[in-house]
Amino acid sequence: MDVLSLSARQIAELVSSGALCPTDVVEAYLERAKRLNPKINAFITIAEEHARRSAEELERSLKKGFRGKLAGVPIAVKDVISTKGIETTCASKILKGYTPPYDATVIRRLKAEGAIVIGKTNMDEFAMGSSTELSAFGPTRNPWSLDRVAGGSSGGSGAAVAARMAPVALGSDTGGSIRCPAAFCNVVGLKPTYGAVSRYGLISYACSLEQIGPMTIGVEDCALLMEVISGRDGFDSTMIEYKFKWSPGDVRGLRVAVPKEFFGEGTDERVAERVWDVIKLLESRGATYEEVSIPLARYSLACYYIIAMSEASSNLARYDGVRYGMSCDLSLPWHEAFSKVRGEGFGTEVKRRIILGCFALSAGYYGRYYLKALKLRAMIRDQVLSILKRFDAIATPTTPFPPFRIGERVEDPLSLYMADVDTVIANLVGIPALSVPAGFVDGLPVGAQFMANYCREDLLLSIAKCVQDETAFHLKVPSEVRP
Amino acid sequence: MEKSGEIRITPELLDHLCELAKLRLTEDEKKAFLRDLNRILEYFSIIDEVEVGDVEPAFHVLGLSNVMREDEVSGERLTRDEALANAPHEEEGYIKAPRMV
Amino acid sequence: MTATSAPKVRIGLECHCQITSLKTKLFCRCPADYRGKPPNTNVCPTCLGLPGSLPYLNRRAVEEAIKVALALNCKVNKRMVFYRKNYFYPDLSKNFQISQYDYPLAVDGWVKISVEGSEKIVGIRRVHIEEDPGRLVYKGGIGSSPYTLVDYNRMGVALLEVVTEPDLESPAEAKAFLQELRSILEHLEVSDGSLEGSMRCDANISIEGGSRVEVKNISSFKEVERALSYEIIRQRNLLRRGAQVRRETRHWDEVRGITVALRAKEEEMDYRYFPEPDLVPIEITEELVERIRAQLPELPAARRVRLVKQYGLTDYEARVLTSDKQLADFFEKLASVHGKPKVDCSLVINELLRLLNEKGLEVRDLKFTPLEVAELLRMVDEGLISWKSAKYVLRKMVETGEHPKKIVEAEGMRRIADVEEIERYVDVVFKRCEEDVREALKDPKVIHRLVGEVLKETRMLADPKITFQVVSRRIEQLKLASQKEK
Repeated sequence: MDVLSLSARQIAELVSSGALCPTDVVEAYLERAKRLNPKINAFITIAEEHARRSAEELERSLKKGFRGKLAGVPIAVKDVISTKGIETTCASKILKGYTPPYDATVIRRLKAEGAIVIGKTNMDEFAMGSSTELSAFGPTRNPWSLDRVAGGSSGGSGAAVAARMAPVALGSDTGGSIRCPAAFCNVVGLKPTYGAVSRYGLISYACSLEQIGPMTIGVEDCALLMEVISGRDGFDSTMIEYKFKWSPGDVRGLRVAVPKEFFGEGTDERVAERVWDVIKLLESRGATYEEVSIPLARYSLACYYIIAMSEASSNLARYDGVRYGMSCDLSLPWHEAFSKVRGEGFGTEVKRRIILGCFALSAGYYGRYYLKALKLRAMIRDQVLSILKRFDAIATPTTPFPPFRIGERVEDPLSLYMADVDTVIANLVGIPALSVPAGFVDGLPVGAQFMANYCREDLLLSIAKCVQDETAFHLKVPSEVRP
Repeated sequence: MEKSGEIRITPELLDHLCELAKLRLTEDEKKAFLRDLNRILEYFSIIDEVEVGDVEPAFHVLGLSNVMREDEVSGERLTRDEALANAPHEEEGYIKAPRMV
Repeated sequence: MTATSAPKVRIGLECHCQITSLKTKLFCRCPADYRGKPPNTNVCPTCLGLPGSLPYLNRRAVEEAIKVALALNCKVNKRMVFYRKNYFYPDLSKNFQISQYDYPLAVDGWVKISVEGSEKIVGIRRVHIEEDPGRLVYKGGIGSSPYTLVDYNRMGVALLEVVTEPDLESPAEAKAFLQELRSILEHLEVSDGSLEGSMRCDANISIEGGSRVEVKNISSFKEVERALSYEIIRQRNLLRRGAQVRRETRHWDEVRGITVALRAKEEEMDYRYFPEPDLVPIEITEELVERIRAQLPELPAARRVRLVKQYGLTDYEARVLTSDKQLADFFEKLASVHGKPKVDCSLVINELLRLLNEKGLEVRDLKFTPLEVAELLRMVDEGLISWKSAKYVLRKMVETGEHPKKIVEAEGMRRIADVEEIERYVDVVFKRCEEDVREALKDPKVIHRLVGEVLKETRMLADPKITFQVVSRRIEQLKLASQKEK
């Protein structure tokens, strides 16, 4: 039995029944991770000691009768999520060395079901980026083609799962940061309904937009993780009352909307073709589709960035070198000390967004930018929800182009922002959205995105299950990675 | 106060924003930022095409309200060691910050 | 002060009052009681502002705040939204403070105050809820310390901000307002003003002809009168010299007794207020407001009316009592047990209050209750001790907590009313003051001198009336005896 090709569900079943030993599982994945990481740079931290200790503890608990839905399952966690006792950097110099004294809610819940954190994955600094090139610890390389980006900002998680360095991973999605790397790395990535998964412990970039979500090979693992991590926790005030449940269903009678704005200029034709293939596939399985229009979609990218940058400028104010992270220079007067450590500790893109965010919130500009963006957001939400009154799901490409080369877009911020053009709308509206592998273009993975109404992750998973059952895209393993 | 017409970030405005955000930029960074930030702002101006009128701003997309907790102490407290473990400078249990005057 | 003489003073106050009745902080479950704890031992990820932490609103804080808004006659808003006030300062663990801006808790209220007998209405512009920052400590004083020490124990404690209209016209009015505010908060049992740092204040002052100056760092309500008096004089002097009063923020230096212009250029701070995305709006129903209104306890103004009516006190007496809830409670308990309200009130506001002020104590620090005081007063009623002795005993009670009966016994203070006992003292005095006795036989006025001697002899414990009777009788007897001899 090749542990490295098991799904999380299979690992949990085998470990729970005693057929598989947690330490063996952990050692197999640690070995793989350590061997491949120099090439791929998926992990910022491989938490060997912690993983081994957790495996030993789990063995003891199992003997005492403990049972968990994720018993023995190694998990790769995006380095934006707080893990007690394991360094958490957000891929930034300013947080180098920061070791949280508490676990994020999602981590606590995963641990309670027996999961084992094996490492913290690379990302764009503070989740601000679409390629995982903007990390203080170097870019993550796409396992499908090492000279290409893995997508962002959860590129490390996407690459880790694609390269089977972990069976499942957690990412975070503010404007597409789970879905984009999922598409680029040929894995499933789910951004849950806003408020479905606790953000307590998620290091904030843009509070009103982001969610933690699973990145997996198969849809069942995605559902399993979602079951464990979702639900109110008494620490995150923005959570909804929602008990996630999914049993695989078919897509007969499913009505799919295909908005033309997402297939127009700027979208690589070959990517569009792959997505259409998936839509037609669903149709052959009993779904129906219809072309629609979401006119306000053209403003969603600007709307998203104004809101995200504004919130970010405030969320990142706490990094001043006093309480944690990179130290500020005590010999300077306070405003100089803060400006210096923040100027040196933050990367360029982060600084750009903080400045623009300050600008959008500042006196004299607040009405024209931030407040207007919030009103526009309401209008976009209403327009999308009206579509979802008539349809069960909306289908689009996850990104307008396949994985680009490392260095190709990174010098031009706007060109990098374009990678999010298909994904931000789900964050603005708060609806769940999923990317499922939809095939390859020149050997590079392409993802199809589906969005559904609030709390209808079940529809998205059923759609993805249908696609996976009918295609074998998700079962391919990158050649770079084959032993 | 609403501004109309083209908005640009001038060197003075950039300095002011850096002061507000407590970010020290090098001269090279300032030059690059003036270029990049204004390009991005230009892109943002696409929202000028939309009439928003009296629409209620979406402060919370899902319209949640009244989320509150009971007034009960519980165990999330950190020990002093945990609270100070990441502090670069501490003295007698206090966290050290630069002088304020 | 006529309208034509001194230019008009306008004062507005921004009062910060901790909601000390809560068990936990405003947005996290840390204990609200931080006083006396070693630094940074009363924190959690949320109030420490650790990356990834989130706020969660304390329901009771909202209810307590509504109580205050109603007691200040405000209009409670139907929707309340928390905003972020963004600025860098090490006492803020997130470099922003969660406060309120548009959509505060309540607006448009008023408070009636009384200064030197005349009443006045002070407008309340708004009441809102926000979190308290941590505390900064400077080793060796703010000027010389090479760095700042920060303690986050207080970070996140619930604060009520009460902003007045600039209706106050003198430091005395400001003081009266703050006293009434504190009394209201204490009667509501929402805030205990005796706790150090629980009530702080910033002031805005302008004088006709000058700009508005903000005075910050007034650490307690008591300091306000001093700070305002100084600042008014400073501004008057500038105007008298023909100089301009600059619109600025000044810092009250308690030690030197002056306001100081803050050195860094204080332009209008751009706080970039925006609604706190990690919290949701609070919809306050009329039902909730009415339920709270129905359960409001008796407020100082109503209590004053009742005290006058129920106990026959004067307005002045009622006002002194209600300036401190504990004092008023003490009086009412005493009156209910002893039953002589005018006397009881006099003891409380003239004697007890004086002793408390002298020793810097609060009523709750007393080691005795109104019951013991009632016993003391009964001893006076029964003639066992004099009023003067009672005052002495009260002082001893405050100092030692001893029961009044024990004090009286121990110090041999029982008033002497027994005729036989007094006769014995009269014997002693008559023997000593033969001259006076002979004079008294001729001049009845000298009897008073003899009475005085007897009283002195008994350390003022002899009942003066009985003593007078005894001495008079003796003198009569002697007169008769000498006449017989003739």
